[in-house]
Amino acid sequence: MLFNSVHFLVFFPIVVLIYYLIPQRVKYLWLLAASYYFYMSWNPGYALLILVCTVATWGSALILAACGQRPDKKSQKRKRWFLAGCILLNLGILFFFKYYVFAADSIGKLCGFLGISIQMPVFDVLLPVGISFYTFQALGYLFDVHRGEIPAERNFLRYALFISFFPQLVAGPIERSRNLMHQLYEPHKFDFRRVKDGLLLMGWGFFQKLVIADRIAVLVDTVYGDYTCYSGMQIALATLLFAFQIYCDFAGYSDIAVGAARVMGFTLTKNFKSPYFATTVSGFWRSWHISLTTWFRDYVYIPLGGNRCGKGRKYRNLLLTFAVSGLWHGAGWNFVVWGMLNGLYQVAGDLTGSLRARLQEKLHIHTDCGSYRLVQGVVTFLLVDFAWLFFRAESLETALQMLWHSIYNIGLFSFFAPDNMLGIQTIALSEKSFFLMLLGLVILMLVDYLKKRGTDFKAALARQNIWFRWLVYYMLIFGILIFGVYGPEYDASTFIYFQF
Amino acid sequence: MIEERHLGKQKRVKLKRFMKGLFFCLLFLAGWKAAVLLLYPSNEIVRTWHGFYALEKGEAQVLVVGSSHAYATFDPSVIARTTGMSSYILASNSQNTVQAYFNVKEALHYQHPEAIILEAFSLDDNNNWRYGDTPDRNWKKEANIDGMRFGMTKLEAVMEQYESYNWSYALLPIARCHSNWEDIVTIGSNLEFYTEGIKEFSSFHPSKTSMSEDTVQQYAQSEYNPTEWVISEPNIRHFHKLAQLCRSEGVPFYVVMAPMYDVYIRSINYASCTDKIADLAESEGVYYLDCNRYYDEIGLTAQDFEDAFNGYHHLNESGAEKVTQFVMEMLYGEGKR
Repeated sequence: MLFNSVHFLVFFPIVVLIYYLIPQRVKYLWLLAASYYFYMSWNPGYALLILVCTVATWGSALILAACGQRPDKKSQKRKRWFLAGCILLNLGILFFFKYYVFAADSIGKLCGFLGISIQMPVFDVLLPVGISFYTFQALGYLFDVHRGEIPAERNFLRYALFISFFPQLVAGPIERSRNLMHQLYEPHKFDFRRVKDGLLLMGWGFFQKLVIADRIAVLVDTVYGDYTCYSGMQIALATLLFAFQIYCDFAGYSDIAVGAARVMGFTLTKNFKSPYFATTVSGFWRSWHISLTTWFRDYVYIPLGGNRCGKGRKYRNLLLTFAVSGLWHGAGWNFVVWGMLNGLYQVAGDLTGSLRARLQEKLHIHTDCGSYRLVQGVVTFLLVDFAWLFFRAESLETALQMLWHSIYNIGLFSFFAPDNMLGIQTIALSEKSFFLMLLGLVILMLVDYLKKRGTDFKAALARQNIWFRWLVYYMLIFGILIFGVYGPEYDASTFIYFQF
Repeated sequence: MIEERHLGKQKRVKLKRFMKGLFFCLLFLAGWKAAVLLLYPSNEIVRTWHGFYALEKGEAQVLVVGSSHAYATFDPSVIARTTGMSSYILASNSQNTVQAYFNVKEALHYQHPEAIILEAFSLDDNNNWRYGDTPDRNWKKEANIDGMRFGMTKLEAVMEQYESYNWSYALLPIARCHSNWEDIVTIGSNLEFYTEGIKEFSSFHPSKTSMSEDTVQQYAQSEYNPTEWVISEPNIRHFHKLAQLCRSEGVPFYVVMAPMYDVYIRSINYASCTDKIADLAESEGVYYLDCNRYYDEIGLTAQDFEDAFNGYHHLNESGAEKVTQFVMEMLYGEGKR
């Protein structure tokens, strides 16, 4: 069930209505049933996978907690074995469904290259939506219990809800147990303001997804679908817009998820903090998909040694973490390169830090001013955007071919020719739709800028007169209804991050 | 005492919020309606419904339902001239008897006509519908449902005519027409219709052209097709429902087959068509008038035949005038059955 489907627009109000009508003690059971229904609407068989993940991590966590209370060597050894076994089981399922085809293909190609004939077994399996998200959430919980940071949850059904809570089930935020678990015990009474805020956030999420992201998708999909028909400038435009598409798509989903949870009284992790206003690549990663970045930081980067070791090991840890992060996003070498590029940017930034500082001093460049930050922001955006090309391309080979094609067919003059309008007519978007998209991006960037400056939109809106507040609500609703890209002829409305 | 006052205040706050919420929803619905009205592709089917809803009570003494045969045949000005009764043609392109039944059912919420006429070609087994082979989504079907006001009849019509996975598609025209914000011409045309044109709208859509010589020749050369004519089960079922509805409402119900081009009639197994309709009408005790049997009485003589039709199925304006006059005389005049 997609958030932007009629099915969800019927499902969600019913869930919320019943949730507030039933007694507190059964609320979590209702949410659990709703969450499983939500997940099974894609494919009922998927429920089995999430159930296996839930049972395995719940049981293992209880055993880990029990072993943790006994300091003897045998218990500690058993604890490590259970942890390893549970990790293997979960990552094994993830590997089979997500990476097997990729691994088999890569091994086959490698063997072919070495002149060895090998026949890998073929399985025709569909990637279950959200498998990477809930697997990581479950593993995060397991690590926390193993470290003794949180107690193991004894109530299986409540734990099952923690793993399957429908607003964040298929595309995050990847919640930490210490944030969400205790909320499953707290009473959530109907709070008018909270519900209103949640709905407003959902509205903003829908606006980002339907008005901006899906409109950009029309253009990006056309160019990336057959890049040989387009000039380098048009490919660059599509890549530039893809940066906003993926942001609006994913941040839109996150806002709908956080908003939906807020309507029911839950507070989920904020997943984005104006990422395109970051002035460094590491700053970008501190504000992009925060729940995943912190997961990798806490459970991969720091256990590897983090930055409290030599420079060489620090850079190795960074590159390794980003390569794994790339692989998490998709089973393809292009995703690995995308992750590695983001790691390399940071390594290069760190290596050249002192040199840049000396240059700035010698050239008398003021670093504490808006113009400097603007240049930093633009450079950061361009670096991040260049990496997105690898992310969006079908494969690493295609990405490299696109780069090659772009360099040799730059098409600079025709792109800016007065009667050409950037070639919009040839890239599947009407002029009106293109300018509406630009307007949407201006609104998005303005909102992000104000958020960066610390503006509290909810509070600011609450201070306004009722006619103004309602005007904002109606503009948002009708903006989505009229200018959104949706409808019966519209396909592929799925969220990009669902495939991860 | 203080507690009671506090409770009272809480109640007032809740009531105020409820009223605000209600008002918000009403304004939203009004905005939604306005958006659909302005963005919906301007077509005659939806406008026919709007024209119908704009009628004063009693302004549709004769209600005609059916396909294009109905709106190309029945001229309200001729009905008024011959019988003194006002009329409305609630017909739409390829409307079958299933849709005709729901149209009548909806119409009876607003008008109490003195006669209901079903143009018999709507019993043809056209497959623009759920029961046919063509896709479930068809603009003729959806436009007819889109024009209908939201209510139980509309819900029933959607459930009857669409597969369940298309119900939301059928009930939410905004999902289909919202991208028309780019089409200024449609918005302008709709605005003009709702501000000025609605009262002047005529449900009669006569053809102003005549059949060309080429078309005449084409029909003259066509071979005889003996294929048996079929009335689908849903059409039969809804014909019975329509007859029962009219009976229960005390409204006389007639079935009239508008004339088709003589050469065309002779090239098909027309007897299998008209006989089945006659049997069906007889089973409900409904009067059936087949105009194809009265060419001479109507005045569709060999000399002026081509002037009365614009194609093998449809009459033109002059043909419509003759046929309407004839039908009204048959139903209400001296030649009354």
